[in-house]
Amino acid sequence: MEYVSPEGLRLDGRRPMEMRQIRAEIGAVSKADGSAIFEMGNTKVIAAVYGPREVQNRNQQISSHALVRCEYSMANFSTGDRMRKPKGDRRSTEISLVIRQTMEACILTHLLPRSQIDIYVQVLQADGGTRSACINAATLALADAGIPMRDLVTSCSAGYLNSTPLLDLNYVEDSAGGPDVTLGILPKLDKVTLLQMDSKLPIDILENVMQLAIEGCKAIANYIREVLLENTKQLEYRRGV
Amino acid sequence: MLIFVISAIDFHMPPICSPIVRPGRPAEASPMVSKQLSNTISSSRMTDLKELSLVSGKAAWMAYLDIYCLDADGALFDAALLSAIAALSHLQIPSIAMNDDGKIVLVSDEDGQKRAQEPVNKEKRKLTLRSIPFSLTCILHKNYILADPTAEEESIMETHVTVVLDTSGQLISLYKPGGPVLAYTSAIQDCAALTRQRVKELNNFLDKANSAMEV
Repeated sequence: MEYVSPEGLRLDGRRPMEMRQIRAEIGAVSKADGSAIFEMGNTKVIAAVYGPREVQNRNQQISSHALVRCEYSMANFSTGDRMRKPKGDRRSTEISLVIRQTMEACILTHLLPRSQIDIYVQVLQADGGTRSACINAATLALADAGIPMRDLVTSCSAGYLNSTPLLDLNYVEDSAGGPDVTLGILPKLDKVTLLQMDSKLPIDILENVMQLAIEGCKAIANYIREVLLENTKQLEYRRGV
Repeated sequence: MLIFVISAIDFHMPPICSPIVRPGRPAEASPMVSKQLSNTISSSRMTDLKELSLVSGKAAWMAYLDIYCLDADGALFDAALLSAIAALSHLQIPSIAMNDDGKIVLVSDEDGQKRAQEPVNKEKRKLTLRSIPFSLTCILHKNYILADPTAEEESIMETHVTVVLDTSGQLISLYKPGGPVLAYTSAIQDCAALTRQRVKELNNFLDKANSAMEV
C-alpha cells in the first residue's frame, strides 16, 4: 500500500513532516485536582490528577518521596469495533507503566514525601498515537494540579514508511507494520525521558526519524506553554489580580 | 417469529470521574445506575424493538449502549439518561443485505455501482423514538426540595427522589431509595411538577442538539 503519494502527500492529506491538528483544554474534571483534555487529530484523551494525597495503602508509603500511580484505560467506544476489555489487558498495563515512568522522571517527588499522586488517563477516541496524547494530557493535568515538575514532558511519534520519515502517525500508518518511534522529551532541559521503537530501522535513519519526533515534541511543548499561560491569565482575571 | 435484542446498557465510572472511585474496585453507583437505566428505557417503550429486527426469526441488531461518567458531580442518573437518549436519537442503522449463504453483509452505495443484493432495510435509518423519558433527581431536606443536586449536596443529605416522566407527561418511574426524610404525597407531587418543567427544557435542548447535527 502506498502511504505517501508521488506528490508527497499522506493518506489524510498531510505532508510527511506535518503534525495533526492539536487542541488542549484544562480543567475538564471539576472534582480532580488537575485535569486536561488533549486531542491530536482524531485521537482524544482525558487525564485527571488526584493528589498529592494520603497514601491509600500504608505498606506502599515511601518516607523520602511521593508515590506516583497511573492507570490508562480505553473507552469501549474509542475504537471502530466495540472493545470487550477496555482495561486490565497487557497493552493497557504496559502503557500505564510507560506513562508512570515518564512522569516520574519529571515530577519532583522528593518535595512531596509520604504522599501519593494518582494519574488517570482515559482514551475517548483512538486514531494512533494514544500514548503520546496520554503523556501530553498527563503533563497538562499535573501542571493544572500544581504538582512541582522539573520541566514539561511532551511526546510525539514518528515513523518510516515508503522510505519516508513521517511525523505523528495515525492509526492506518501505525498499523502498517513499519518502524514506529515514540519519543518523550523534557524540552527546556533538552533531555529524553521516553524512547520506544517497534520494528527494525537502520541507525542512520533512526537519527532522522528521532530528530523529526523531537521537532514534533518541541512544537507540542510550545503549544502546551501557550495553553497554560492562557489558563493562568484566565485564573488571574477571575480572581481579580 | 421476530428476533430482537434489548440493548446492553453499561454505565461506567472510571477512577477519573471522582476522588472516591479508586482503581480495582468498581464504584457502587455504577451497577445501580446501569440497572435503573435499563429499566427506564425498557419500561418507557421509547423504542420499538422490532426496528432492530433484520430478518424475521433469523437476524437482529444488538445495540450496545456504553455511558462513561467523566466527572461525577451529582445527579448521575439524570445525566446518564439524557446522554443515552441523545445517543439513541443519533443512532443510524446501516443498510444491510443477506447473501446466498444467509449471512448478513453491509451494503455500500459509495462506488455507485448496481447493488449485488437487495437491501433488507432500504436505507440508513434512525430509530423512531416516541414518548422520550427525562428525569430529575431531587433531595428532600426538612421543608425544602433541592432539585438537581451536586455531589457535595448528595453526600450531606441522604433522601433522594428521582422522578422520570416522558414527553407526554406520563410517569415512567419513581425512585426513592430509603433515607431519613419521609416523603409526603405533596412532596412527591412537587418533585413531579419540577420534573414536568425540566422535561420541557431538556426536550428543547435535545431538539436543538439534534438539529445542529443534521447537515
